[in-house]
Amino acid sequence: MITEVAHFAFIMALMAAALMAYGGLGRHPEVASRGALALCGLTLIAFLGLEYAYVTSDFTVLNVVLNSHSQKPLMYKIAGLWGNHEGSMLLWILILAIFGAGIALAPFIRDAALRQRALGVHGLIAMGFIGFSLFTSNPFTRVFPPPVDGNSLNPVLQDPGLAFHPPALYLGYVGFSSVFSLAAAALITRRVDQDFARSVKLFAAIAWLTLSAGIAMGSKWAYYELGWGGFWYWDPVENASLLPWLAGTALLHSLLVLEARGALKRWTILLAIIAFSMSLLGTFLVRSGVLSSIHAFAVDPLRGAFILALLVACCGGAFALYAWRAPDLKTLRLFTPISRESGLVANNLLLVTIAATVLTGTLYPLFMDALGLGQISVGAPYYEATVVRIGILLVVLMGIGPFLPWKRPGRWTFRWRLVVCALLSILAVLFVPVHKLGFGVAIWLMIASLAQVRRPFTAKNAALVLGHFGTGLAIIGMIGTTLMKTEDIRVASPGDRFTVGRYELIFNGVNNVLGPNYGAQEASVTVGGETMRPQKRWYPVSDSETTEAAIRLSFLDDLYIVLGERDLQAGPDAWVLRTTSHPFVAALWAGYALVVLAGIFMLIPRRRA
Amino acid sequence: MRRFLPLILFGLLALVLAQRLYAPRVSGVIDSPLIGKPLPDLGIAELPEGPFIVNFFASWCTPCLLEHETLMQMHKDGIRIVGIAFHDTPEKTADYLKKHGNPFTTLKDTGGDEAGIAMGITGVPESFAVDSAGIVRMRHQGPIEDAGVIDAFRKAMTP
Repeated sequence: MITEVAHFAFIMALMAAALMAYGGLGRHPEVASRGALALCGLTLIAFLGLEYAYVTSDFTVLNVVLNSHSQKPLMYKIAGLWGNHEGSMLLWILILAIFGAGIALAPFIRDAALRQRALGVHGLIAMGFIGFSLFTSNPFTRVFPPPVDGNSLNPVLQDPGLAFHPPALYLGYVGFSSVFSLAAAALITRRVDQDFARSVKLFAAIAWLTLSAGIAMGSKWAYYELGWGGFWYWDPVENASLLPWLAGTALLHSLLVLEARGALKRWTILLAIIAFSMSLLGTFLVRSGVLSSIHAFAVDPLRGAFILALLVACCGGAFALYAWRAPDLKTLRLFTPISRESGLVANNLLLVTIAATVLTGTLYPLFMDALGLGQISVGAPYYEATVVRIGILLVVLMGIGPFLPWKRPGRWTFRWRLVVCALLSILAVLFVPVHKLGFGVAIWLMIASLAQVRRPFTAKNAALVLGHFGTGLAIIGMIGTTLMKTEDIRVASPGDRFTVGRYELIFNGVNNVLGPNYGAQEASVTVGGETMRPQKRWYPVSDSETTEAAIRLSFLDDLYIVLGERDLQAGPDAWVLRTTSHPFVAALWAGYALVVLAGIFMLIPRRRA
Repeated sequence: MRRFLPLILFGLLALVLAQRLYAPRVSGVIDSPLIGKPLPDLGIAELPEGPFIVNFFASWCTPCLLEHETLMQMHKDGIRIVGIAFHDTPEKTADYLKKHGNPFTTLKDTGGDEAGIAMGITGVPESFAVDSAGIVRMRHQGPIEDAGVIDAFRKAMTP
């Protein structure tokens, strides 16, 4: 019964989206606003209805059968909803609807015409995606006769990381839809000005902040839970989340120029469109199966075709609108070469260059294959050779930029703070024994960011300092985990002693242990008086294995042990052990956290004097 | 003209994505550095003449049994198959082929592990298409079951 109500609400949501589009693009602003609120309410009912089926293990619903199991802990039953294509689309649409309601209600959107048109565009997007869900991937499909129990969930996905990583990412991806709708609306109304910047800013900040948090969580999940021992793999789908993040970061900075100087109108609009286009591209890549990736969902060509059609309609439509209306958005202000606005333009150019580089690397194999030039894959070396170099330049400028004054015509004023920061970081580099360039750049950014602390310490100032300082800190972590890690792979027998990094380890052997829904082989390794227990787990219901790394955290480094296969040729109790020491990982997580915190500070409204 | 640039670039991208979406894909066909290169020396004295398939199998491997019927049919249709028993003993291999039929033109029942390393296989069953010039043309992982895969093998063997 509840499933039927939810299903019906979901069909009604399609109607609400249609009303929104009709009212918004026609002449009925109040219809658009009410449509947006109805859409939000109806989608919420649909979502909660499906969630109810998951929590009560209602195996008459096909989606629950395929992705849940009565013996699963409650949290994973709840999270099971978005661990699959159909359910995650429903979450996607729910978030889209919430942002639509946000546009309808936001008090800081002063221009009524902008709000109305934005709701219209948003309604069109919602119609497309609800239609996609209902016609190709309906999560409410029933099954008869109902099976006795469900088919469980991939054990890799039974992890707290899963409960929050996808929803946060979706908030970010889909959050950019509101920015997109507002940008398209601004193209329709031909008004891109300071008011527009203030209307978009908060939406852009929310999307950027949640996307940052989602990426950080995914990175941490991969590092700790999947036994991969790295924080970033340049996997096509990871890149797909990085692309909207880069575009979003550029957008936040170009909005600063638009708000302060009323300039960079076309560019800001274009970035707003690109940010959401990149989200949609990511959705297409994950769900169509054109790229092989560890993140891919099950393949269905019809779904791929539908999403491609949505992608073409949204992005193609927006770019065409842009081409049509761009001549109306001229700014005739030139910036002096050394000024805050020029610095922000440089920031934008570099960020967009990085995004273009990542996009090229991600799609290059597709292009080659499409042109019949053979199958190739683009891996980490490409990105390390390109992104890292542009990144270094960007980070150096990130330190300088905030020192530059707004629109000071002509004269370069000498800045003592800048010089002191530069000297301090040069001094610091002298004491760094290795990777002087990388650490030097990171230290420079951190010192220069701290020098930006102003009195009074406003939210805007805090966002700048925390965001830039956090980036510097994260870079230190990245250098530590990639360039300075030490790895040791050996066949160990009980009693063996060995050294990795600054640690002395003793291997004690392997025992069989039983968990709540798995069996495991568990090694025991003594490190500095503590015992670490890496496991190989086997989940009988799904007949699959997972690796549970044992990790010893400390401020300076992480020690990471993975249990490999048994090696009977080397001895009766000999096992392969992979031990890695990752210096400065803590700095990486702290850096991520500060960047997210910077995003939170962006949400605090400025106090008016 | 510059304002059309985003639209044009996006149009190109959409075309490629559409082409990729509808390009025929055969499941199990995966990349290998050996493709386009001569077949490595697998320690087989007499390889068949003309194009053939190299098939890694084992008597202990259930997916191999799954594809066995298809292999028998391909054998009947005149496709030459070189069978390499991986991680197995000659006795068990002989038993297996006696029980289920022998689809192989040439059989290698010893030294399959070294051959497997030479071909870079990650498990069994795995098969490679070799053309008449002795060049490796395609790699397939997992059981060969559907007609699409057999077609792909035929095409790969006769470029």
